[in-house]
Amino acid sequence: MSLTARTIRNVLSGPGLLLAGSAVLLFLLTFVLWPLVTAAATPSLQVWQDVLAGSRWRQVAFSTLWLTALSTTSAITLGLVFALAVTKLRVPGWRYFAWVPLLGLFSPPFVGALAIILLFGRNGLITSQLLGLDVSLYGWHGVWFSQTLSFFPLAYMVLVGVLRRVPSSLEQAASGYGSGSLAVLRHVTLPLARPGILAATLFVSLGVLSDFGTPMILGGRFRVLATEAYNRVTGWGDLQGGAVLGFLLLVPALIIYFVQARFAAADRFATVGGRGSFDAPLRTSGWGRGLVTGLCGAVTLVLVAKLGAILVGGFATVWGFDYTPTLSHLNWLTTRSADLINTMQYALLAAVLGTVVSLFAAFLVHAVRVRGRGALDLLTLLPAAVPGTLLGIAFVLTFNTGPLKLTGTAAIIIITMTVGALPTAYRICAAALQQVNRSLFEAASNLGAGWLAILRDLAVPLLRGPAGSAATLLFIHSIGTLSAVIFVVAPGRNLASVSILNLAEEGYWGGAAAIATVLMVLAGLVLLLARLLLGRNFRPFESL
Amino acid sequence: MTTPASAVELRGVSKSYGAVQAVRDLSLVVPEGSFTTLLGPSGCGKTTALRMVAGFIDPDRGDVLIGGKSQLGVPSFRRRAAMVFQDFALFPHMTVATNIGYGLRHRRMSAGVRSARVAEVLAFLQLEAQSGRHPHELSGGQQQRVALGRALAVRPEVLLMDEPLSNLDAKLRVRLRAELRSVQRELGLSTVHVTHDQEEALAISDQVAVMSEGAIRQVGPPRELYERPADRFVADVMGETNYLEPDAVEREGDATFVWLDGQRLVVRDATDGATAHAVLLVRPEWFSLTPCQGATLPVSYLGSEYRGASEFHSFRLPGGEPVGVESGPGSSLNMQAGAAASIHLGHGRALLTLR
Amino acid sequence: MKTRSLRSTLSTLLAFLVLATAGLVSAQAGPVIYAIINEQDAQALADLFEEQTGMKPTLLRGSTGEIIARVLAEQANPQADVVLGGPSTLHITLAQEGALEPHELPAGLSLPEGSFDSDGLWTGFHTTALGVGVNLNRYASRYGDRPMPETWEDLLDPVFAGEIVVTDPLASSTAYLFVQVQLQRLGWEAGWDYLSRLVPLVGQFPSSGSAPTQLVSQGEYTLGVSYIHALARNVEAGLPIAIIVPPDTGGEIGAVSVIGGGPNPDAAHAFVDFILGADAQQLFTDRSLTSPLNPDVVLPSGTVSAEDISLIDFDPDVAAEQREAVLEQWGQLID
Repeated sequence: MSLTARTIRNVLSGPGLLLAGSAVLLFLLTFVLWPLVTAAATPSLQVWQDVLAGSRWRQVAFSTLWLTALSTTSAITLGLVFALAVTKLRVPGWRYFAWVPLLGLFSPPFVGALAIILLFGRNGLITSQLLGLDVSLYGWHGVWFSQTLSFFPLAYMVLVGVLRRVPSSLEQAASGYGSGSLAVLRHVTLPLARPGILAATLFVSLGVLSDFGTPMILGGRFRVLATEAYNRVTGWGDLQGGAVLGFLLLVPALIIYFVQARFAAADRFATVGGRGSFDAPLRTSGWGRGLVTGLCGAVTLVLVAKLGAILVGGFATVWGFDYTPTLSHLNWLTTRSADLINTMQYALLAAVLGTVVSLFAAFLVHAVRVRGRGALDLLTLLPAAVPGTLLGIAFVLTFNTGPLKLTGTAAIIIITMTVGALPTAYRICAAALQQVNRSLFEAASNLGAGWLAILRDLAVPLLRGPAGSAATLLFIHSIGTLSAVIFVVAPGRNLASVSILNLAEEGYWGGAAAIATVLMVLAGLVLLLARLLLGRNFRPFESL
Repeated sequence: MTTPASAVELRGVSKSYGAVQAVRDLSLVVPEGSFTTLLGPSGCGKTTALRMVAGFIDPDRGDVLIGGKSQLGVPSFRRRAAMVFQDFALFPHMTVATNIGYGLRHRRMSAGVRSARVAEVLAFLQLEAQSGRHPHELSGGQQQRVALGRALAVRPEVLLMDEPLSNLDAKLRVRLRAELRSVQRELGLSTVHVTHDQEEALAISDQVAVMSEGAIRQVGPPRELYERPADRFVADVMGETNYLEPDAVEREGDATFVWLDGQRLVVRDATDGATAHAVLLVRPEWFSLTPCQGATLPVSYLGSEYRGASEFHSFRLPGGEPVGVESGPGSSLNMQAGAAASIHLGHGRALLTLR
Repeated sequence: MKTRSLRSTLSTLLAFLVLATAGLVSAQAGPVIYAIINEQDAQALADLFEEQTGMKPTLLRGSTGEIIARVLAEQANPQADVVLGGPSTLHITLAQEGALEPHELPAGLSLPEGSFDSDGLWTGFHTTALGVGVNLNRYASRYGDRPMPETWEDLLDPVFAGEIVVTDPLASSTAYLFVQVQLQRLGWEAGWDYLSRLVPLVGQFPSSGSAPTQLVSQGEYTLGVSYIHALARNVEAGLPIAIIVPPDTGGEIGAVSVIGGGPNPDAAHAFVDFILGADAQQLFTDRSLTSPLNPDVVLPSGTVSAEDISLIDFDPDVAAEQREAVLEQWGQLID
């Protein structure tokens, strides 16, 4: 039988899988590829020229780049220090410090920006009330400060997993040769952790590039591309111009993405040995440890204060002026209850949809190894390089008219949420599948199971933990997502995150804080639920 | 023509991966009910050949037949060949009973028949006590039996085994290989077995195929391969061996003689008449420390290894080549390293073979 | 992990999912309204409308720029029925783009000249005027006894650098009005000169019109350009704010209009009638402290009396025509 005939017969022998595979492919083509192509193609050459000819975008693009570099560097550094403190240095209190960055998961970056104003703004609790300073955080420095604090937890989560895998036997060997702990870090630990550091850099920098809410709230007159694109669309009504600006964001994103991919492929050694065992912490000088501990402690205080500010902000009459407790801001919860319910509903559906798509796609790529799996892999990971603003604009351009009209529906919001977090969910499922011994699939096939049966009997049961982690992350991402969905919400189909931004912008901080508190509590509950249900299997950041 | 008595047949199969040719024009017949082993070093293509029978790999050329029927284009889940994997590949989230019964789920049978069959297999392999446990709770030997049971439960036409014992420790290996063999004999199940351990191959196979670089060098019963290897490679794979360069080779009718150190020695001949590339193959146990009819070689003593059931002595020939001699228990030599000694080679023991 | 508890958890999740999706299928009754006025006020009006008619409106609040963008983007397939609030300039622009449909004035309602469109495409229901809000505490701590600014020109004092907040005219009608007031008050050249001297002193340009009011109230900034009624409301609430009404300030007519081709035209017209009626206007005035156009409405305390405001002769048509050009020039100014 010829190769083609054989292939066709093999493929057709799993009709259920073929159907599922086509559905996944169709979903990805329709909601990832098509919008991007449309967004690139719709603005006519004239529009591209007009926008790019203006001097304004150059300044803004430059600002975006150096701010991204700055925020990424500081977030990674802070995350690294924290991760080292917890894994290798074991500073006093490391058990508590290990949980602190998780607090960062509870609220999206723009809520963090709000908290920063409440604490450190002109009328901030710490700067103004306690210290009597008159400090204005509006501007690039405020954005930098807020983004560092908002993104270092993500860096931490990735790095802590990577550092844990560096076996301490290597470090002990190095220090046995007389290296001080700093040298050990420089020559052994960090080089081995390089792929993880690169990965963390990728995630953080993409997050910062896409961060729309923080510059909106704290930027003052400092403009970045994300806000510029937004203003172009909402202020000028110029959707196409906004798309062009959004594409400018894509350039650094893609560069960072490919750099990371290239370096990550070259570094395979850090994962040899699996879970490195931990023996004893690195020896450090007394005041070195003290310094690190102090830094971790200070950061912890700020993170806790941020959460606290949001919690309290919802109950203070007028923050910065009148702290009498009040329940009046809770009225906003009632008026915006529809937004909150929408957020919960849509995020739940997005989590389910995203997990199913990720699981199927990962299965097709890593278990079945279909032909063209490279393309499938790329499609699923592509949204990671696309900043939220561009995604939102692309969706509006594509689905406002034409064969698939989705504007104003809940579906487009759910799909936007799903696509935004799809790469993360897919990565988790793919990594987990790669760790499943391939001979298990072969054994099942040998015993008579077709691919669909293998999916049902092996992949799904074995991937319960990762799928649960993926769903949890999808949900938490979806309730806080802003930059993409702000373009696709509609009357009656608004989201809590958009509400928070609107209220914060208008200066109704009490209301913004109240709604943000609800989101935080929701995120916390979901994380708790995931931890309870999945137990030790809930390790969402290890495989990133 | 295929005879119905062949359980598995590979006909001129070839498989390349890019520039590397894993299997080259390989042909092998596995008779019905036999235990056939593919033996060779890693990279020789034995696993590739096995996986072609299983259906995980499609050959570039040639045919694969099971029970006389071509399997080309038949996906693995439709073939009647069940495999026991090197790492057992037990489904970690299923119990022993569920693991064993897994293959039966894909065949049309009622739940009652299925559980009866599982119970049968459990009893047969003495795993009843473990039926509710999960793989990680079992010992290595138990896991191996579950893997075997899972393959047996589906009543395959052919049993395939990919180095099933290499994940176990030495003593367990010896014990389990006997069990495997007795199970196979009892069921009369045609088996294709892959290993790199020649002792295992010798002990339990009906026929052994020695492979290197994608091709079969020699196939036959273990004894034949051990005592009359076709060339140096097969000889080395089958066991320890010494090679002596004969001064001359003489043939008189059916008998073959070599001249060694001025002595004329009767030898067995596996060269089919060639003399130019012949070398004399002597297994360590074919030498004798006590004088006998044949040739005597002066050697200098290097040292001895005590092996419990036997002793292994190392000597050096006048030309400088090392030679190993195995003798029975209690034959220790009390000699200094470098001392002169003599070893004896009886008529008709050594084998003249190709390089 | 016990299978049973997992199963029950999954089934609970599934049940919730089903309920969640059920909510998606529910139809939307009543008019869909894009509101530019304060959200809480809009909600109050919506509630009153529902009480009176039984139709439940759906609200989406946005700034002027957002709403213009939305209505124009959706013109081929409108998602909403009514634009509530926003200056007449905005409605004129929309009418010129053909996005609106005419509404017949309710019988017996007489509105002053210029406060409604002759073709019925938009109708005014309140008036507003621009002023400057001052946070008294912050002003005192920074400037002590220094006399407070009284005119627009007084704002150009360099000591106020970074302490002024003005909305972005791209996004907000308040700020666009402010820019237009300067241009129409001083003339094109002098007006841009004024603005170019003011811009370096501004701390930030938020997108929402109500932001300066809030930010000044919160004490984030000392001076904010805002509608007088919005400031008056916060003064009534007890916040430490003083309202400056510069001479030659500008005012606008807040209007309401029906979007052409919207999903619920009958409900839309019913809503507009409601807005123009005395009940709605009274409610709105009481809450917003704007000046109503319906003569049957009683002015509440706290409203700045019309005598205290000196308005320039503001031409909304010019404002509408110039919008593109002005925003273009503003963009260059900001760079």
